[in-house]
Amino acid sequence: MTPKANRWQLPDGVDEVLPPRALQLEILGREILDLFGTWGYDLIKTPLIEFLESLHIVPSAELQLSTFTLVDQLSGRTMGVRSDITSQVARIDAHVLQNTHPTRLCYADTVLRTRPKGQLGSRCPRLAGAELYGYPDIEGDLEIISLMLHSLRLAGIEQPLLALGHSSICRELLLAAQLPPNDAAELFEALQNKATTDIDRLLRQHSLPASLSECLRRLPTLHGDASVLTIARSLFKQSGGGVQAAIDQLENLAASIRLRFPGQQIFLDLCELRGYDYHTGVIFSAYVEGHGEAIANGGRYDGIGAGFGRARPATGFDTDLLTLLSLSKREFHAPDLIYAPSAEDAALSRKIAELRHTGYRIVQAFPGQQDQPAALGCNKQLVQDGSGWKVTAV
Amino acid sequence: MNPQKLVIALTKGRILDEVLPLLEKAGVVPSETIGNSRKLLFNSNLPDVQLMVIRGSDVCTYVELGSADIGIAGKDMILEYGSQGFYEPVDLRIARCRLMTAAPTGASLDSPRLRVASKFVNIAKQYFARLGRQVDIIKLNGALELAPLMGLADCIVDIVDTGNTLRAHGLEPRDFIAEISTRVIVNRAAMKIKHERVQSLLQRLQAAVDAMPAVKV
Repeated sequence: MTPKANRWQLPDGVDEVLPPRALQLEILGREILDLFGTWGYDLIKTPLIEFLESLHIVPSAELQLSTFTLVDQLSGRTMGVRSDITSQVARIDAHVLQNTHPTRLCYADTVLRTRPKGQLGSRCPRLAGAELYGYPDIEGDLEIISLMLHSLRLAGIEQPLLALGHSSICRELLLAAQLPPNDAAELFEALQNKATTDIDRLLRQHSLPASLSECLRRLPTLHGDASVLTIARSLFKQSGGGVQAAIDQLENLAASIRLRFPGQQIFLDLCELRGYDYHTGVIFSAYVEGHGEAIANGGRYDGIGAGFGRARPATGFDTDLLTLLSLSKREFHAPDLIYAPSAEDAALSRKIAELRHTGYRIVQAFPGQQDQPAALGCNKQLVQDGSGWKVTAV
Repeated sequence: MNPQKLVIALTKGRILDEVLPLLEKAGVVPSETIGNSRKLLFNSNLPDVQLMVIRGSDVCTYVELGSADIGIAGKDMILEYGSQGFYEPVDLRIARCRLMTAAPTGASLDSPRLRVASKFVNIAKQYFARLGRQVDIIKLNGALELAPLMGLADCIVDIVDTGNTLRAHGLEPRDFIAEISTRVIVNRAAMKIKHERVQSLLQRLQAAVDAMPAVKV
């Protein structure tokens, strides 16, 4: 049994948000949802728990391990607590809405994870995200990236770096190598870690065509500015059409982003796929100085709704609102808190009601309460003068 | 992550004597002798490069969480930590050895459920899982050779250099698990945000490694 002294403890990776940050978090979430709304994204509220097989429709081992499970006493089936919202949005688009036109949906909700992403990650992140279903081309990704960058701007994140990549490049090159599954998985890990020694060792163990071997060896070095696309184009000229198409997409996307967001720093990494288990096209993330991990992630995951009977193109992004708030350089306006004395006075009651009606926050003392207004966090107070009750500074 | 500085976490101890000359060839020299200093944080000849000296197992933590941008750590530490949180782009090819299993000379390891003692519990667990063998792992922090002698474990998983220490205790190296050497690791965000500075240092380190005489392991 837990010792009585430790009953205050929260589990690892579980946090609470106190004043004034809780209100700031709420404001930020609201403003980001409003931003999504101005782009035509409709808000959805997904269930906290669902049957596990619906949540696990997303082919991601990481996501599946992250899901808390429980047995439904009514049906006997296993349920999961959502650890991500994308699989739920996929279900809603494929099975519930069944639109034929592009569908734009957004959300801001808490999810629960068995394991945090990274050592200090939250196990109950408050995700805000936007997803676009039913449009296959990069203009869709461009819209989602724009929403991501505008959200960061709204959150007061200064000069985020936008990282772009593509899931097809690494995957197609690995497929071409036709390695046994375990060896392919090991090589994939080494590529993701840019572990040159391990990559060389694994490539030496298999007699791959020299040009493919060279492509795989150099793939993890292809990161930096747009010049890596030029290098990639010539390096991968003998690779499948999918690789060249991916390079074209990244080139077009980067050019469009530069037009829409002049001065935006863009970083390309043609190998990076860590955390993008189920993605099928361009992937993107945002980084900011002073934070060791991505602050927002997204990408294309076409066909995600196939398990629900409808495989539509899909792209989307999400971000943890509390992470954004902790990195925000934005000044949140602290609303006034007005102290009102305890008094049975009709004029005072009227004044308080009137102020509350116009949105002011009033704390009225209880009979006999001796606390000073400042001790209650009030910066203003109601005082009576000859002409009635007035708000003055504390 | 410190926005202005490039922070390099070094592993303290024997490995440092081999790392510092390589860093010097790459143009990074601590502004004072690290050797016996009690200090943990050092400036360098480059105004934007700071060095910290910590235990090998902590280097990975600092780099993954971004408090250090770059780290220098043994592959054994990286494998034990689990290497998903950072890149390891340069092999310094120093402090080379092998990670192996070892057991009393001639002893049979056929028991259906082996007891394995190691400092590297994650590596040991993964290695035997790959072989399809159910084992019990015992975490020890040193003097592993004693464990089989005292009947605590059937075998050990440890770093093997020449094998002389093992033989002196009546043990012999058995199965090879991994080649170990010292690696440069880089925080995944720092690689992007501080790309030019990080890449330039990595290239200089790689050049310093390439200029080293080839050593036969």
